[in-house]
Amino acid sequence: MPKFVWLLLPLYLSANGCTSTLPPPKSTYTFDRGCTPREATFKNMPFSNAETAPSEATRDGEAKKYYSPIALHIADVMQVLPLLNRLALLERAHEDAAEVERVRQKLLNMVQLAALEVSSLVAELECEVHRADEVQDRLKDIQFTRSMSQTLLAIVIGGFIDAITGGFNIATGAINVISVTGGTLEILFGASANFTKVRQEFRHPHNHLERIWNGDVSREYYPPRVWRFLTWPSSRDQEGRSLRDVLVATWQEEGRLGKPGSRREQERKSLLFGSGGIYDADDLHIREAMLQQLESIIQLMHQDLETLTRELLIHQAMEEAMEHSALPHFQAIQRTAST
Amino acid sequence: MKKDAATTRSPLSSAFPKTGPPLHSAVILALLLSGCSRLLQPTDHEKSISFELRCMPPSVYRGVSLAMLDGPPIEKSAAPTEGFPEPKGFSDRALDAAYAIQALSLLSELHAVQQKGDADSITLLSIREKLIGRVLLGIEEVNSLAAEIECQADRVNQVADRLQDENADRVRYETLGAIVVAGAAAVASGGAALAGLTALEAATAIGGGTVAAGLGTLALFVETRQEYRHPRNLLREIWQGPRTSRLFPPSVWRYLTRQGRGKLNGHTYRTELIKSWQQEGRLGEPGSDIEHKRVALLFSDGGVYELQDLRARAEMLELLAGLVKLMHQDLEMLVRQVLIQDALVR
Repeated sequence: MPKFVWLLLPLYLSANGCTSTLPPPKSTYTFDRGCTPREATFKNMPFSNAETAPSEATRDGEAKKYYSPIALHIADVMQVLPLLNRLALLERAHEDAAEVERVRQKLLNMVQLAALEVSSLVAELECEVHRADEVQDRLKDIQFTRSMSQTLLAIVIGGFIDAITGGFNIATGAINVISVTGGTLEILFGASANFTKVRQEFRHPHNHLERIWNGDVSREYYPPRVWRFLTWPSSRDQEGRSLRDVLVATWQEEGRLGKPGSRREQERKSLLFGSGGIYDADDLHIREAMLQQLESIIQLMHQDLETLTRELLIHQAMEEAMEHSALPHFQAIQRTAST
Repeated sequence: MKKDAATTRSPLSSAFPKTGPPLHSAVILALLLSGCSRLLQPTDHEKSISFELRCMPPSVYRGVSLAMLDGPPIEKSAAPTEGFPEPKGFSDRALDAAYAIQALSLLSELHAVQQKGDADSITLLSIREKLIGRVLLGIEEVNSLAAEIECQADRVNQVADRLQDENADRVRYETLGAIVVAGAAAVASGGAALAGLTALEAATAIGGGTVAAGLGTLALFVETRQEYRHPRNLLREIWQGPRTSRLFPPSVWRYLTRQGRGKLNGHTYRTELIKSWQQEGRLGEPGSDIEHKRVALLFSDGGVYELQDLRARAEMLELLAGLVKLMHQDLEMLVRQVLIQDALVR
């Protein structure tokens, strides 16, 4: 009987004590469907002829003289640069006030739509973060309980052996055997407690990280406006790289994917950029952190949208100031703007 | 085999015949210095300021006041609400939002035109459009600031994760070392006893126990640190509370620093936020050394951070982002009430 126990114990520790895979709860799959947007039919429908890919001529249009490079860039990203050029022409001509107002309103509507697209995509990513977080919490709890009980067992065995061998101060052959086996058990339990890993299957067929990693455009995952913002060269980077390139480089530099060229890196890549697999708490934490980084660079689009909105409103207000021939007032504004 | 004191003491010196006091001291010193606290070199990515630049908004024309552009007299812009008739029919929260986006005068104008009864006039349409434009700008200012704060929090968390990984690795190996040494000592001591080597038995038991206790204790005091710079410090702006902010959009700054109409009992969102940082212990116990250290670190241009400091910074930034986003509620209230009033007039 004791021999049988000794044989089973290391087997238990290596198979169950260090790594074990849990069956995933039902909610893992249903929650995923809850994160994806409901209606994608109208998402990619253009609104007008103005919303087309701009040529070099449109980039050198009238708007270049009156709007900041940031405003021009975001208008280009949103493919409304022709509309902004038209607005700039109309504003300079001071003729058709109603048409100016109509074009400006159209631009503001487009800004509003882009802002909602950003918020909606961020909400989806946030939902994915929470989904990973829930599973991570579950794995961590189980891992902690196991690790605690194994450490406790190691301590109890250690103490118990000490009490027998030292406390009673009896030295017989049997006691010494107990001391040796006790020490061995202490090592086994104590060591395995440090390497306990609990894993679970976690699927993510709608994987935003995969699209970013591969860099292939996908309207189903990213609205075209947001995708262009992420993949066009950005003034935010000192070397003029796109935000997507910077993000991918960051993941590699931080070692999120493991040592370059290692087997661990290959495994992580196929796990994180695939449709899912068996995750442990650390892998889930990495997925979560990567999704949050993606979220945070997407949200930066709001900063550029803010700039374009502000300039549109300033132009509107300045026009009125000119109409009221409030010259001193207008000069004061120009002074403020230049500072 | 009975252990006696004399035999257990003497073999110690024979068990480690060549390790004199200088070596012992050196080992203990090395363990204390490298085991308890270690300064990590920032990664190349951290050294560059490119990450900081990415979080930063373009801030083009942020200093231009739209209320000022709305028309003379210019003096009005210095204090857009003071001395101006309060718009009627709006809740306190809607008025707070209107104050923040400098739309109180537009609300008053809207009210006046609506009172005339011409619901379809061009003037009414124009005011309404202007107001909606101002609200849209307010929403984007909030979103843009929240994006910057979350980008910064993300950056802090990246560094914190790195420190935590380092800490966890070291704790794991030191604890493992302690357990293995203790277990091995027990095995060796038992083996020695079986072979009848009493002196060696005692030496391994005492030596193993001491090393195991040392390693186990070290694991409790592991602390890894890293230098972390943040010259564009949004938290410092909140802490110092200047009249006008260089880093926050003016509308959000007005929202955060103005005394709310009744709901905050004379406090501002800014002071409430500082209070919640203090109450939740983000700055450490009031009056403690930790508090002094954290205040000097968190509200400066940066310095050497421990993991707990970084986590506190990330939490504080996230609280700030949450508070900034609350402005959306008041803006929603404002739009809702404008639409209701519009519907009532029609």
